[in-house]
Amino acid sequence: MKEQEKEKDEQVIDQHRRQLLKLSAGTIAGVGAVAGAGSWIKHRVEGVEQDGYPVEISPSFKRKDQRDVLLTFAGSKALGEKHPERNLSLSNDADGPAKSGEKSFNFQKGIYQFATAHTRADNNKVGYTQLDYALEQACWHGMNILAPLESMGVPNQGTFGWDQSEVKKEKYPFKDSVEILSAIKTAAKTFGAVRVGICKRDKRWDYDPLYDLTQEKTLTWEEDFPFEPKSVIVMLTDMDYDAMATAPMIPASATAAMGYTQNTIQGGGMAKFLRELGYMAVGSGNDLGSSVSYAIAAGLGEGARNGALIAPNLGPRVRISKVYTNLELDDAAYDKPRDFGILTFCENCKRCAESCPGNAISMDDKPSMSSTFAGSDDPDYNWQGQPGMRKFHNDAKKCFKFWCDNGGDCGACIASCPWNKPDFWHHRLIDASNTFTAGPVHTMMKQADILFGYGNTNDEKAVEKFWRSGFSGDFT
Amino acid sequence: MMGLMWYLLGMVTTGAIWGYVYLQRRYNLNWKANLGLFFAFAFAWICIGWSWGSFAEGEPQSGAMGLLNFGLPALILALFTWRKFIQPESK
Repeated sequence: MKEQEKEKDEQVIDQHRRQLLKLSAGTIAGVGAVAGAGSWIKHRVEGVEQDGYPVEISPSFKRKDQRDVLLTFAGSKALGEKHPERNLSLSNDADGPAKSGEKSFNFQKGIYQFATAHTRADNNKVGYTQLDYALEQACWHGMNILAPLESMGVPNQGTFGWDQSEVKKEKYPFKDSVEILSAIKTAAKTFGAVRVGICKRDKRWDYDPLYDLTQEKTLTWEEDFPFEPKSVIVMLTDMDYDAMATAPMIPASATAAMGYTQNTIQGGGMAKFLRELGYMAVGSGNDLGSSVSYAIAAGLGEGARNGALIAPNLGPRVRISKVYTNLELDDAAYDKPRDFGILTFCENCKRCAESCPGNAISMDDKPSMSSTFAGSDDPDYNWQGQPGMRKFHNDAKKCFKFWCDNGGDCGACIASCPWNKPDFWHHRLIDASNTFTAGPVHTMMKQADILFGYGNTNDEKAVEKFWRSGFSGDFT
Repeated sequence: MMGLMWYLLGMVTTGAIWGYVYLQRRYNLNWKANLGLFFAFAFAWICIGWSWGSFAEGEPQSGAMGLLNFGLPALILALFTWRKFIQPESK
């Protein structure tokens, strides 16, 4: 009897052991599968390092003459007089090239209208009141003091000055490139940057010649710039989500302006830091070269459909500053461009193009080597284009014209972008899935973004929400 | 706000594990029941996390869509699994 009971007990124990074994095997397999998938997704989310520059560049690609940069042209009386055809090419009444009989858009008058918009604030128009413009003007104030007209691409201004007389004679004795890299990145964090990357200086992304519209004169890298840059440090500063959600209304312009002010602090601060360490350095914002191209080279993000940089977790809601320096690192220490799967998403999304009030953004399915918009084959119309790079070529003139009509620098393409989200876990989950899914899933995600209520533009409730955002939640 | 959410989700997860252990003792749970319970729990978890996060960030439409798209499937799946695969298998 006892033996029978013992045998029964052993059977039960065996059964329990088998169950435990099965459960353990299942758990180990599950944990293994999750860990494997997790590490693969992490690899994709952090970006896959690229060997070379990730954008196809044609051998015929030419460096950009700064006199063809839209804001430089718009701010220059002399360039306006030199190129009267440019002020006759864009229709003031309709989108695109001016047809006979149509009034044309004058860029120099346009920028004056843009710059004086705050004097026409209307307290009966939501998003364009004295309150909104007061904030915008206050946000520009820092940049206007620290590096005036930096946003217009004027070089050698304030904290972005070219003077190298204060460079310390003794270089700080860094042990190796890793120590330099660590010091630079820590300094960037201290200046308030949200991302930093370092790449080699690449002449292709630098304007040549440079142009100072305040003196109406061209400058060269060889004769006027104080040294030959070897590296470029690129820093990102983020803009306020709630403010950007009001685009194209003025609080969105205010946060963009604050981004420029931050640029002058961060870029200027980093240049000063390097000069104190014994290296020549010049900070830069919209001057000297293409910030987006350098940010891509430094692995901070990808060039998007709207022409801006999309940085993981931040989307296009960033402003870029850069610092040119003669400091050199070992080849392996430089940051590499990364593929985050963003441009692939852009191909299927088009939300920014659909939201663009100026119809300036390309609706093409794939990036191209040159502009495809109406009038793009007319050099008098497409004077600001830069062919030879595979990207979405947008009509910046139409974008700028909307700024002037709007009285603020829009930001609708930033606000509407599905990558532009605040820092909440569920957005990081979707961002992660977007990096490895493709095609129809991206289109579905874009539709889901709309259904879930994100990316609205011209939203008067967003203005109300923005003006309450400092008085609620964790902030207070 | 979000800290409280993670704390509550931790409690929900612990509660779900206890519930699962109870169900396993009380019923013969086959693989279909296990799968159904797992996905019902996953949907419910995402529903709470998504909706809470959305309301916290001031996006009520997203919060409501989270309740609809994740909460409703969680309820339906839990009910379906209970009726079809758990209740008939009582020990």
